[in-house]
Amino acid sequence: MISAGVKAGDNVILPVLTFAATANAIKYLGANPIFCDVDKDEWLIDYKMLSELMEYYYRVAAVLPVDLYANIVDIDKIHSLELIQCDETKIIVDAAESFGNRINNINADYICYSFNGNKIITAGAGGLIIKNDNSSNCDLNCISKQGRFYDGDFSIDVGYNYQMPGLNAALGLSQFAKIDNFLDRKRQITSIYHNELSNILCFQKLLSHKLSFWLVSALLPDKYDVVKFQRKLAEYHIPTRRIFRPLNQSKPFADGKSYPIAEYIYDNGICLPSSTVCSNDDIYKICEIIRKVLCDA
Amino acid sequence: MISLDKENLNMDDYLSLALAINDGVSTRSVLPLQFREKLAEYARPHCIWP
Repeated sequence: MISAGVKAGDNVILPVLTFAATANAIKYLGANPIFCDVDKDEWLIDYKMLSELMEYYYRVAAVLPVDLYANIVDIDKIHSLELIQCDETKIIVDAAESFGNRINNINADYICYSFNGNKIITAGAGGLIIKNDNSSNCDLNCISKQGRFYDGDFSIDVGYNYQMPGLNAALGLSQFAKIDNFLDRKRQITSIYHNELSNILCFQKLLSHKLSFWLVSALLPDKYDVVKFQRKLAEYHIPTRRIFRPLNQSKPFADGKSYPIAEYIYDNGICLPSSTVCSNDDIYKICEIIRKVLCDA
Repeated sequence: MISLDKENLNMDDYLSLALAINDGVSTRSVLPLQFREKLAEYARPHCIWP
């Protein structure tokens, strides 16, 4: 965002259903996070509400759509919104969860991936920024190296120390050699869940077969208590995780507004075991237990 | 093993770390550069990575 020219006091729009890191980055700069509800099927930023927010706030420095659970935001759809001021509003995609997708979606100004421990591949920490060459007059290298240019001279702006250490790169290289295997496993895991449970769970609508399928997520049948479901599965030693709590429900980001779709997904959604360390037999066993738990309810 | 989103690291990965530690020169810049080149190949066009 620094590279994109976002400054303190600027408005930045993001979906309310995301991990706190997306909004924290906006707060670090002293900018104003403005939340947008999500689509009920894809769980991605709601383009209609985004358009309304753009109109209401008039000047928006950046839009930060999120590839939630590795589903992919359609950047062209965002560009097609009449109110995106092409020169003024930057599109910065939080793609932390979607590294490995094979979708040509390069019209964003910036795309940010994560190599945190639980991602498709890990380097222990850190990530990757892809930027559109024409999107910025500021040098990412310079920002990440204490404000130092290639020629050794220093920028007039404050720099940061975000260089990747060699040890992390060593781990990343080793993991990178296995990425195709990891992606195949993710595809298989997702396919088994969808084939076995689509009649009882409402899965997040995935927009392509070329995704990286990071974490399988679904809505439970209406009125079924998510916490009770988690406890039941825990009795069988099956770990689950709730969908991210809408950020407006946390103290640093409370805005007094309501986001009904995100709240519904949080109240009824669940993330299922999707690690590549799970075997196909593990996943079939999980499916069988989920069917039993829901049928016994 | 059933896990929600555990990383898939094994002895090969840790061995690569040990080799990196053993080769102090390459840890400084060569490995980040190699990783960056691999990512640039794999990811999307217009890739600029600090």
